[in-house]
Amino acid sequence: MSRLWAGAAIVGAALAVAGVGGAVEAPPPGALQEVADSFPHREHQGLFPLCQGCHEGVAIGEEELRMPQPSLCAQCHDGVDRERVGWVLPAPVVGPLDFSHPDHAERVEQGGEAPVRCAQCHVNSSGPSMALVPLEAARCFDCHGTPPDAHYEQENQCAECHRPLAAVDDGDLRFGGYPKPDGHGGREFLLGVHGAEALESVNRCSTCHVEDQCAGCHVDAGRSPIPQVPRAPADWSVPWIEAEYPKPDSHHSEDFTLSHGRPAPDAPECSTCHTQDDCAACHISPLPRPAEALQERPQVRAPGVGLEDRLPRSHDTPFFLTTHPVLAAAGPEGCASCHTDTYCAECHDSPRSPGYHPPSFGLRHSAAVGTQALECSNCHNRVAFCRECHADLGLEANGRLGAGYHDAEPVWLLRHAVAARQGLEQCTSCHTQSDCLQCHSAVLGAFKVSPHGPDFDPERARAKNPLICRACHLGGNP
Amino acid sequence: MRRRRSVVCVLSAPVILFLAHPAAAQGVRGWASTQVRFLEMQPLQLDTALAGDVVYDADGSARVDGQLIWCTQTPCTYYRPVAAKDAVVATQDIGLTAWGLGVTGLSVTVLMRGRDQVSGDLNWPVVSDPFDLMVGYAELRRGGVRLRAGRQETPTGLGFRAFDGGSARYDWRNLWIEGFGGRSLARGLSEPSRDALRGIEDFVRDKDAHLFGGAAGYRWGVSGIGVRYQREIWADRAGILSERASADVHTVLPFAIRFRSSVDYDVALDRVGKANVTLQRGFFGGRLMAELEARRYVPYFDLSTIWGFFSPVPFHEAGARLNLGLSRGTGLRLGFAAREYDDPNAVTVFRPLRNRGYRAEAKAMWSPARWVQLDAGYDLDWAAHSFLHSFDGSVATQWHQEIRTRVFGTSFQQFEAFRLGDGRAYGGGIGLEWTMTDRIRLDGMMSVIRQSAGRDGPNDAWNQTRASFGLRYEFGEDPGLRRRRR
Repeated sequence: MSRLWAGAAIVGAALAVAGVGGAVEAPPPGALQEVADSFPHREHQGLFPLCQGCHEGVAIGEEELRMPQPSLCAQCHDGVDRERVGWVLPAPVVGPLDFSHPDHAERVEQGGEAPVRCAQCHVNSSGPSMALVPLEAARCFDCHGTPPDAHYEQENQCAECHRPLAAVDDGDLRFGGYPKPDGHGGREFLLGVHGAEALESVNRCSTCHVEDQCAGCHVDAGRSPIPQVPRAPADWSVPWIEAEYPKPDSHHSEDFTLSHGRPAPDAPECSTCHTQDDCAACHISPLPRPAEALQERPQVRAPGVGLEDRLPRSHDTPFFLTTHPVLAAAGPEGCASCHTDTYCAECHDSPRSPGYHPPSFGLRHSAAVGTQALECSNCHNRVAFCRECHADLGLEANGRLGAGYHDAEPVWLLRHAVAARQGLEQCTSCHTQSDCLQCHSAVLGAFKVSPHGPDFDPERARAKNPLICRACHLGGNP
Repeated sequence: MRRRRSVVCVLSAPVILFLAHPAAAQGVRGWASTQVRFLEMQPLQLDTALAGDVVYDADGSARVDGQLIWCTQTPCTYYRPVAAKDAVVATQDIGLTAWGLGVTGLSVTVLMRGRDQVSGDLNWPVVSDPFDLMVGYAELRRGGVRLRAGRQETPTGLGFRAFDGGSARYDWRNLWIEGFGGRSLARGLSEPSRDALRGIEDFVRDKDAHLFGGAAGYRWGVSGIGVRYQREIWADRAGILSERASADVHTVLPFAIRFRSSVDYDVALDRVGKANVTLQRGFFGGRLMAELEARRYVPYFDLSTIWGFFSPVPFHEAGARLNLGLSRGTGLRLGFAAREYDDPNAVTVFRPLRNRGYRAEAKAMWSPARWVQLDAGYDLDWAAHSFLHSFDGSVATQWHQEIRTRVFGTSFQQFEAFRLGDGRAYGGGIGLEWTMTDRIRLDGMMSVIRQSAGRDGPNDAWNQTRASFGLRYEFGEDPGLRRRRR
């Protein structure tokens, strides 16, 4: 008989575990299905009509007395009157409920309600006695008046009943069975809701999550409150959350590139998704102070956002080359966060950059000098660069008053004043001051022609630099 | 022997850097660039023509060997091409920033250049100076404070200025303020004028000059404004070399119009210098970008030369540019600007000089496939002092992810500053870029320009052959660059 019962129990348990319980007629709605009991409670109900007969430790909170001792079984199953049974005390299983029967009973008593009987939770009230049913949250709701659908609502304080997932036996296997609460996931949840709620009560997150999952996205997993979420045991294989980094609204603003360093001097918000590597994608070392507060890449388990350097919007126009000087002059700190001074010099300092001007520019640069769209003297010293090169190519002015280079204009000497006032830079790329003084010196000049325009203020000029006045008005080197 | 040593030093610098490793806990990032360039040009020489060699056309114009010359005096003079000159020049640049020097926020930035003319009889500009420390300063950043000491080069609304000295800057919220001062260096050079210009410029004083001043700015959103004042005086306080101020502002106006403006002012001589206003607006999601620009330009000469007192007049220019981007690498760009010079208040005899100038550009870009890019452009510049119109075209091909070649051609005609005869030239070349690793890049270029059979100008005057070879090596830490290049 016992063998028959044992065989049936094994088959029933196997069916239940394999999930083929569906083959049995489904229970009516609201009813609880009887579980395959590892112990034939119903056959023993005559001997032990009260649960406390075997489970006396439950009510008083004594773990050792929670289950009957094998010696109790052996009193009948002594191998003489009854076949011996191999009952051993099961190892205590730590489940997700952080539940104490005595505490619960005390609270019920304090609430002035009738004591809760074991059968109310462990037995199907509509079935035969001692026909055990699985423990489900619905049984709690029966008394507590909470609709089952609300069990997983985000605002619930899970930790009131549940212990952290990491502390639950086989928690990694259980995790997959937990339904996703409403509101979990999505951009808003990721960007704001879950963080705020975690700060409010991180225990709520710990019910279903382990720290490792937080660290799968958060590059600053060492920052509060994440370390308060217990880590998973080493042998667990919790399904990790795939890292997702939705772009916050603030990042879409047009001035974000310029302003992102200002509100976060210690970078508390940036550090959720960004490492120092992200800053270094654009910023040059030594990194700005907010960046120093971020994690370094090797210390981080999460993938992080992984920024690549991109041109700021201000750079992304076809005319940036000609308009960038204003940006640089009005806000040099903007340039300096990504460029060193040496970067500017790569273009702005001849003759380092043969690629700056087109290959044939050397032959046809005279028009560009007249236009001055690139302001030649920023890079080229008029004397040491322009005049030296011109001289070497035979274009050195020798102070002649006769016909020379400007042979397209008749009587050039009498006509050059307008050209000189309009394009004095070009004149000085070949002519020396001495050339001009041959005529314009007030002392030694051949014609003593004044080079000053009508708006020239001699007193002001003399007050600023009297030395150079001597070149014309006293003669000789000032 | 000295030259050979300097060449060895210049060319071995990248190898030394390649083998160098930063000390523990230190960081260094930098680059080394080696450039070897060849240039062959056709110098001119002033010559006289014998009366018997001068041929007069029916309209009375005089020619020698087909070249138009002006014979207002005897003998006739003209510039003729002489034997070509060439030069091979090597330059070695090393730029680096080092940090982690034991003091929080302390870093050092250096940019140095060595140069040497390896061969040839064409004197390359500034090549006689074998070494320049162009930038070399220590920087300390603490919170909003930035202190720098050493050789600094500042890009400002007053142009690039370099000095040996110190600067202090403080950032407080959206406001920044800076003060600076030190020994002034000549513009475009990395030495004081007394050293750099002695012997090649008149009236160079054997005195240092000091540059000092201040700048401040405020930024809000995508907008910013900056003002700057700087003064340059002789070290013995004998006079002021320059006293200038500038203001720069950029913001976004209603209707998403970007506004940029700058102006500088010569405080010493009480006159406005350069000014610029730009309005920019994108249409159709930025595919069409339109820009209007008005600017004023007047050359600036400091008071160390007589030219600072020669009263140059400004020109005012108004222009518009359109850029149409149809797809990646395909588009059209058009631009036009007209300028007019202020009254020069000078007398001219005979006919007056042109007072206006125009420039125009048109460029078309077409990328039929990701690996090929075709460009064609036309430029026109038409003013009193010069005339240029040119056609340029190129085909750039990306053969491999790391290798790019470019074949280009050019044709141009120009009149130079009030000079007789025109030059018509055509030519082309080929360029190569090879990104060998994420840190090493090679480039090379060769171009040949030849003057066509000149109608009025000197034969061969525009002949030029140019070639260059470059090696750039980046070293040290640069995580951002590493990621970009993957």
